[in-house]
Amino acid sequence: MKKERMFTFSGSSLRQKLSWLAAGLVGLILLAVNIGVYRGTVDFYFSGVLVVALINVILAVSLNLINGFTGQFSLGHAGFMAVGAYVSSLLTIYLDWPFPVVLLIAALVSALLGFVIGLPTLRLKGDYLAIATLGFGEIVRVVLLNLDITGGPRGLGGIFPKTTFFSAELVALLTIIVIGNIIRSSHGRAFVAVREDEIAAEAMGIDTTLYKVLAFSIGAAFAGVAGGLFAHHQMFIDPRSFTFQRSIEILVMVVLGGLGSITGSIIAAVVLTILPEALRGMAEYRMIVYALLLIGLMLVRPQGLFGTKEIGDFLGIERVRWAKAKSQQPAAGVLKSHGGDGR
Amino acid sequence: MSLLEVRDLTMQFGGLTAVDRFNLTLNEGDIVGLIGPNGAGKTTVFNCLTGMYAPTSGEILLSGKRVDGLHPYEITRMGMARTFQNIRLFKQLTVYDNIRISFHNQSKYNLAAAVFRLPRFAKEEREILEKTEELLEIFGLYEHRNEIASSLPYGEQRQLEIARALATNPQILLLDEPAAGMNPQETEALTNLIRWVKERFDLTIFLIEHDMRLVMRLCERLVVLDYGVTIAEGTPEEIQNNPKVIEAYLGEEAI
Amino acid sequence: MQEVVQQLVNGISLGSIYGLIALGYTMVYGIIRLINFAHGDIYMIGAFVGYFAIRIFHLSFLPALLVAMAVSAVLGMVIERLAYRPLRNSTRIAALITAIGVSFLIQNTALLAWTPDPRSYPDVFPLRTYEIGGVYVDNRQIAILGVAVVLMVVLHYIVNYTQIGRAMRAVSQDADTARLMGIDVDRVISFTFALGSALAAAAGVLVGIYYNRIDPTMGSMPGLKAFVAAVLGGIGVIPGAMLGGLVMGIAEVAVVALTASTWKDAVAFAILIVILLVRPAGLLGRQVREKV
Repeated sequence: MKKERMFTFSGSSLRQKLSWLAAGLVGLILLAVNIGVYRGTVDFYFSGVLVVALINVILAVSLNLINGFTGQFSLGHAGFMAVGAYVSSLLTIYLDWPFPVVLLIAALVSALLGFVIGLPTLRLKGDYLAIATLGFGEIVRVVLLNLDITGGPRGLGGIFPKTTFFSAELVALLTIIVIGNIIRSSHGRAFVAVREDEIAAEAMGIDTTLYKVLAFSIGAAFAGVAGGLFAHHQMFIDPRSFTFQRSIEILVMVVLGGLGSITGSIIAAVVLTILPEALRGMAEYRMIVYALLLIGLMLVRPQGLFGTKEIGDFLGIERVRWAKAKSQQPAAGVLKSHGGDGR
Repeated sequence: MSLLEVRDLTMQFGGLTAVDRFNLTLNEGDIVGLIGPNGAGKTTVFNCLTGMYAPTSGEILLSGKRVDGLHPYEITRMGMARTFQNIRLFKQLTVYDNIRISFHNQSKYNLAAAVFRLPRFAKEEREILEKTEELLEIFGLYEHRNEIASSLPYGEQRQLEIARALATNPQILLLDEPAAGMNPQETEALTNLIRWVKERFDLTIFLIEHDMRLVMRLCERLVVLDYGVTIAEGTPEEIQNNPKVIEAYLGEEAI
Repeated sequence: MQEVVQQLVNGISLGSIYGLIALGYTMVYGIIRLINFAHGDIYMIGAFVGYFAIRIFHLSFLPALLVAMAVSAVLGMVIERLAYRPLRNSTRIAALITAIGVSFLIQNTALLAWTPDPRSYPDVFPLRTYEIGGVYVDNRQIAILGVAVVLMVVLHYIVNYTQIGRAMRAVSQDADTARLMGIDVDRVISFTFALGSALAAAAGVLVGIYYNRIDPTMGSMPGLKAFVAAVLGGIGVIPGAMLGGLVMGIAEVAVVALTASTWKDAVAFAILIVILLVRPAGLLGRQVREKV
């Protein structure tokens, strides 16, 4: 039997050629950055910014699973990130467990919390859910503020700097692959069905509650990992690192990139992390620029830069291999008797 | 054993009794119509059968198992699918995705298989693709497969909804006013289609319809609902001649 | 027992403020189904306008209050016109995100213009404390309660006995039908924002006087809590907002009295989540079922 190709290419337009060019360019830049960091020619401060960008990629892609693909409006991502950050830091500080194990535990604890929070709150819709998740994030923050083991408002210092550019890059890559593969599967289509029409999704045999909780748990797990990477990069965390504002920053990335586009989230996360650094003189205007960006975007392009499109759509890669129309079915003939118009 | 057995189904909203002690038996291969004036409670019966509403009292048995109170998705998985009176497609998705989504409960691979792209995943996805193509061809939607569902003409949206319901592999198909908004030719074609699909997929069909020609030509048996109460049941001929029905329903429609 | 009554008095003072802010949330939500995230920041602006009116223009309490209310009302209308109206027909999530953006914009502009440092509010009337049967009530608490009650009565009158109030109720029922009946829906929405913003500004001035301290981020927490109060009372229901505010205020004061004050911010959200789960329509709201 002939081996089947994963992708087929449809005709190419100028736009496609440009997209290929852009993708190639981005690839080259990525390669150069990796070599640069590896050989130590990238300056220490900038490689730190890159780590934050990669952490933001993880946060944005995972939030996109909840907000973009499943259509659930979560404003509590910073809460899950906080849990991951504190859990992993405490494990490395007091038990000195290996970093990958610690990150995995951070993911599990956050996912569990996502599940526990998700189960009851996901009965809520739209802005009610938004406000409930916001409330959850604030409760997490207040709890962290009041516990002894977290250092309360003084924060937690002395965290080992275990996050490197390459570990962050690896986790970001894994996040993209895992979430991307889930999206392009029957389970991923169930998420999208929940977003499009919950009642119709139920009628098509989709357990909508299960998929909402699943989206929340998976999103929370990756946010937890991102928190772990963040803590072991900053070496100091306190409850102020995980306020409602942080959740909004992640949301802006997702919305800017396009709710329902992983490609968009990645690009938006990187650009929105590096751009403010490039304009460091304007640091105090950063939040104002953010706000204006958010408002302007909603007014001009509410679907975000990429809408629900992915890189493959721009490159002209068609994921579905159609077997081409086979023998005409009898009913097709029956139906041809009315063309759908003439009313 | 009958395929679907409904016993004394009652649905109340506050003080209002929308459906009052509704009874129905569907045997394999039946095609039964539910008719009645607007607001008679027909769609409420559908919503109870498919789990959209939990009935106030009564029993619904699907292949001998109680299904009242179950979630809609559970009932769909047990073999009862439906279409909606006000079309509920996944409007922003392609025709193709609308159908593909609905094969959901037939794919058995888990999340890990999807994440690691195991052979199981590839095999089942290929099967779904093939079945989707088949349905697209049967309903003459193959050329429109990449179009957004809401951009289809009204008649084809109704057909897509039926195709999508069939993708869940039902034994019983509930159609809520499938001919609403269609012209006589389209209704004619739809009548043929329903008959053909019923044979092709071994279906039992229960439908709500206002178009009397379609109902009379298609259905072996009719149930008439008025103010939530079943006022008559029988063959189309019996119903046409039933004085109670003529008074409550046919009288005002003047057929 | 005295202690309980004392806390109740404090709770009612705080609760009236939450209630005043909650009214704006609930009216706007009732009319265009938008959680106006920027509402808490309008409350902050109200406090600052009152501050400048007193400090720079040497106005006394009531004129300063009215100026703050007027300026905020205009601000509310401008925000609605520029940021929300163009989105009237897009998704609710897009509108919600815009509202978050407006909130950030106001807050961060204020931070830049007025620095993050807290300012102490000018003394408009010297603090006088009265003792009634062992319970202490001060004139500021009386002012808060008095202003809140007067504004509530005025609002009640406007909504129920004036033409614009009738139009508001019509639009909140069904904007399209209201438009067909000849109601200028845009004007009604604009008026609703003005009304809600004015009430928030009043709350801002009262808080400034009561706590004697304002800063540009003061709107975030009370804004969120007032929203919780609105949901608690039943969003879209005007008496519900006031009731919700009082419940929230009393609950918060009680928690502070019983535990450490650092927990008080969690209380509001715990209440919120419980309410949403147990009675999503709120205390005075009505349950609606989605039509299949």
